Amino acid sequence: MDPVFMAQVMVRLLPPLGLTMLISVTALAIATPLGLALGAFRAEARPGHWAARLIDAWVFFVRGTPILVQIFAIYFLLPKAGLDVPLFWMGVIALVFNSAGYQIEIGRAAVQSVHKGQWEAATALGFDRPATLRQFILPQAARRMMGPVMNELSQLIKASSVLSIITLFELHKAAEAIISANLRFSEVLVVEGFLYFVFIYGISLIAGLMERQMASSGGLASSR
Amino acid sequence: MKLTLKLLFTTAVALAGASMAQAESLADVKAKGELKFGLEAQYRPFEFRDENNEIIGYDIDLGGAFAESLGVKAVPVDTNWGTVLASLYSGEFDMVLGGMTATEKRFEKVNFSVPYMDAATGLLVLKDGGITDFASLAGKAVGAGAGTPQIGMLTDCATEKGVAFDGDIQTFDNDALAYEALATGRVAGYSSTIVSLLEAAKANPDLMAIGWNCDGKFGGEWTSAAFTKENDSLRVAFDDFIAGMKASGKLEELQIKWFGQSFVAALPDVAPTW
Repeated sequence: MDPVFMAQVMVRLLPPLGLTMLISVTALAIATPLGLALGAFRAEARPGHWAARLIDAWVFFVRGTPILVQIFAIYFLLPKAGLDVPLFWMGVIALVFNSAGYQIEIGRAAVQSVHKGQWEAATALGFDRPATLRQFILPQAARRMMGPVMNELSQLIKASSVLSIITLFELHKAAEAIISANLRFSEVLVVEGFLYFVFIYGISLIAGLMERQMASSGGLASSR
Repeated sequence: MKLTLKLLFTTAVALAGASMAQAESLADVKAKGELKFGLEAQYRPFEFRDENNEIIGYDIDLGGAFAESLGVKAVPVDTNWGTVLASLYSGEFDMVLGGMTATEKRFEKVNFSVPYMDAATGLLVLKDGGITDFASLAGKAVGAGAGTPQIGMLTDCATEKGVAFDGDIQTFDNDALAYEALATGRVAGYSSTIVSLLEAAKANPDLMAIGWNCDGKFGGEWTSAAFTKENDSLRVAFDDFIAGMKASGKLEELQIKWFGQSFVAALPDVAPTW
């Protein structure tokens, strides 16, 4: 281990880390609301509804295929469909497609886990179903989602390293390039792992802070 | 699941290099004002990244000079080597200029230019590992780059000479990973082109590169640029360009710059076909 070389590697990896952060946070900002909303919708939808079936197909596909295959599919199929999507957005689409697939299940499970008595009580008070969902069920479900969603956030960031195969010069691709150019392996790997760790740790801290805030304010319900 | 299968199937077709995308001709390159060439910047000294993360190397200089001769801008595209031919056909770049060895199998999908570098095969071993020739690999774990012709060569030669390796040939996504596997004893030998292995041996004093050949069977392995089957006008222009570089001595200059020696005298003047 050569600390001087590692410091040089760190400096060289900072711009690619920036791309990793930008692409992950963009994907997070789209995948989390989208996935959770679709999940909540799925929990409430009639089982045979066409939209419910579409959502189920999405979840099955994401769960049943490796992200490597999903990324390649998007990378090679979008141009064939005549869509000229810039590389950055291809990466975002791949991550959103994958992560939202998992977050649909998180949202669905959280909504369905709220006790039936809550629905009955709200109905007895004269609330209709949409209002019950909005004002009673979702605030309770939101808190139950936090843990699994935080897990998913870190998964998404780590999955972004697979985008190196579609030529995005993100953190992992840059680390590989440095390894190849210098033919030195361990030092680069340690620095790369450290940078991923710091980024994910930072995101977890922010998410944890949001979770505590939500808990101390009694959930989304108190804002009403 | 039907959708899944369909998607996988379509991907497989795309990966097989079905010529769906419109290939760009020489005129198109000139009209665009840029020449994109595909490579993976993890193959020193052909292409790798300097300390500013800029791609440099033999192929970059060569591609730059070719673009200049056409009066267009050179744009190296750092792609994934395993899918480089599929990307060529999906129109991500106009040609592959990435230290590619011309092989019969690849020729089924692409046309090759005249050779611009020697791609003779070699074996990288630990200096004190006791491996001196192909036969001493018996019972040892060996490796090669994923998707490289060396896998087939090792297999053929092992069958021919009755040498049994320890397990299957291990394949690596990039050479640097393999060098680490070699240094840590996970494989006893790693086969790639001799020029890249000499470079590795220069950087790591514990390693050495030895040439190997199966009774002359693999003589004449060459590095060529690859083009889509429909895109011959650009290939012809590249061949003319290489001929000019040879005549002017500039190709020799470039080889000495990046490889420390010249291989020009040995290079054939015709494009490999099968």
